[in-house]
Amino acid sequence: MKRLALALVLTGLVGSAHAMKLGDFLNAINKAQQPPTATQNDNTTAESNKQQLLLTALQGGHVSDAQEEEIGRQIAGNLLGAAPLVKNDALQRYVNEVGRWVSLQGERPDLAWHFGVIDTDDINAFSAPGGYIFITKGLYRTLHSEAELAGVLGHEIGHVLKRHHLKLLQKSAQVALLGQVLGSAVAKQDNATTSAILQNLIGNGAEIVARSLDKNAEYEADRIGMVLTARAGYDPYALPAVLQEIGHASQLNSSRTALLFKTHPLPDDRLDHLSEAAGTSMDAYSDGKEVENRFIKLP
Amino acid sequence: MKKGFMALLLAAWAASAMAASSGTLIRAEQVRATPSAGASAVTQLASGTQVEIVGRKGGWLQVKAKGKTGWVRLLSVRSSSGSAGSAADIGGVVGLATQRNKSQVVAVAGLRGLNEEDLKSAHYDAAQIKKLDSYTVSRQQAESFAARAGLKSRQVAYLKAPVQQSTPSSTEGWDRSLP
Repeated sequence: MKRLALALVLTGLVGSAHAMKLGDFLNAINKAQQPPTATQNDNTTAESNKQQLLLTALQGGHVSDAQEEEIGRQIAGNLLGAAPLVKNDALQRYVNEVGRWVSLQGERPDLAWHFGVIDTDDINAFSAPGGYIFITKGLYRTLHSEAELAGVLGHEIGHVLKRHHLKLLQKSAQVALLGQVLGSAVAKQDNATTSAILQNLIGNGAEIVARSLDKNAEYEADRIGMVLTARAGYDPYALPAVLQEIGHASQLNSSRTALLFKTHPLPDDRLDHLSEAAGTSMDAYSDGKEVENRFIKLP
Repeated sequence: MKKGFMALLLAAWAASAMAASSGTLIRAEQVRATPSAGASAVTQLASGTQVEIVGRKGGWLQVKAKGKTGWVRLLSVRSSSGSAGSAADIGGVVGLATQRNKSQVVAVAGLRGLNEEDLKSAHYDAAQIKKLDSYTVSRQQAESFAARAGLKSRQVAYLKAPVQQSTPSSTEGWDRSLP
């Protein structure tokens, strides 16, 4: 019965065309709940206060950069638990230098940007909120120049600039809040519940980084990636060149691109979109550099 | 067994290297003498023409078709056209153009993927995060890194979405975010 009620409400939400209305609705619910007071929770620790603030931020829609960074750090740590960094200091440093330079071309240049190459042959790249960006060894190996690396990192930076994954987490947090409200007559907001919900959202696992975004979010990240690459002084066509390359590699090695293509539009569709969006407007920047001489090639 | 598999891949790669990489024009194109929109036209190719790709420079691909060689826009060519033999083309357009491929073949032999189950069951690794922190680069360091390669910031406007996005065709974000 409870499940049915939840399903009905969710169906209504999905059908709603206006996300803003949903946010207002959830805010109202949030305000209606009694926050725990000091007398109710004498043993409230700083940590659980922080958790409560984080969850409230996720549910209410206002996440500070510091909170976003905290969320991203947890997710990044989980991802590294699944695939550790490639043991190559020079490579990791190099990817940070390129990524940091590209990140300076966007509107969040002062985030604590982190970049890493993770040890898997899968062809993919990931981002987590707050500026955590990872490229797999498998994808890195398909690249030929610093410009192509900049293009790939630029796409992921685009996700962070537009807070795509954070928004996905916020939706999940709001759904969890709804479940909480509908699931009990007395809406509990105690530490244990908060912990449990946060744990569900970001406590374990890193599948959020590989969760499907709306395809328009991917196209948007491609457009941003191409522009950031151009702004950084590189050849803007490096990103489309990588997309062409991935289209080829996939034909032979479907297992290495299985996750990528499960969660992203196909390379040809992405190229069609970029082509339509860019037209010939990027030709003005085609004197951008490839920078092949210092590109670190992996054996 | 593993060795045999690798040999097979190497054979496939060798075959593709001989056959060169192919693509299909998705629109009619002037084939230019040099990679520039202002360059003189060598010939005109119709949409759907199969081309052989021999190089890339920026947004341009050097192609061979109908006995002529010249340059067309990269975004006018699609590689995965489903044409016969393209499955063996491991290196792809760009790979072939810049002549490196063998490392990829080796990578395939040591297949080790990352799937959703791995990601779901992953546990926080504090030591790895500390390691990640040790590689971070400051704004100043990034700027001098860029300067060493002669990279300069340029003013480039963001690209607008080409079509209206008013009809979200997928509710995937919602479906998959259910707890």
